[in-house]
Amino acid sequence: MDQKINQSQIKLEELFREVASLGNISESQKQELFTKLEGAIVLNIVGKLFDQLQETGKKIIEQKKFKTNEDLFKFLSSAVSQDNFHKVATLAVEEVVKKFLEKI
Amino acid sequence: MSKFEQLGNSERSKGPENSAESREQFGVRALQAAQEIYSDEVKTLKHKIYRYEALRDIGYTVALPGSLYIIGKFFGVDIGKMTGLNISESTEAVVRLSWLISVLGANSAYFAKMYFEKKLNYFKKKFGVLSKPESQETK
Repeated sequence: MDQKINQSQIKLEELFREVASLGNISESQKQELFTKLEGAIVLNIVGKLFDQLQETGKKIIEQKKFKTNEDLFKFLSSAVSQDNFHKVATLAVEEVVKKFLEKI
Repeated sequence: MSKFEQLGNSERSKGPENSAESREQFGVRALQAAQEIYSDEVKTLKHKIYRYEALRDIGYTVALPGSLYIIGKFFGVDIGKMTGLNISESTEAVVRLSWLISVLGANSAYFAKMYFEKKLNYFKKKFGVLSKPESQETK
């Protein structure tokens, strides 16, 4: 396991738990809070990946029938580079986390 | 002005109006904030995909718990391989989220850590909590 990833995961988990604990909310509410943030990040990522699609990619979507999220994600990964995915994901995390912390 | 300074200013402007807020009220507000952000993202994505009939059946279900791990896998970010863990929708949300941000890259983890640390210090001061509440309770 990558030691750096493990360390940043532990630190983030600790910070998230501390912020949630300050609010004295129940365990189920904490789960809901972080599930919503997680959902917001993935929605943001998917939206940004759509923005990156070239015209050919957009035409393919119009003709395809996606039955599952996996079908859609597979298509997006074939149309957008891995490098761009990382840039998009970083931006999405930053945007969602910042919006959340600005609201509270 | 940097993004970080802007965040600091927004905290200061919230200070007086929220000075009498209890921790319970803060908790409810945090939950509402997460829900609002989620709803905003749903609206934004719906707007972006409304022209694609092929996506109408999927829509915002892309936000189901665990979806981030699935999408990451298709882009070569396989959390299972990287961590040896089997993370799914049943894994605790706070663990899922922190793993997710960590494996997406150093920048993602840096931003999340800095933003949360700064805000946490602000709230600790506001609520008079100087150390971790959970560890205090267990002592």
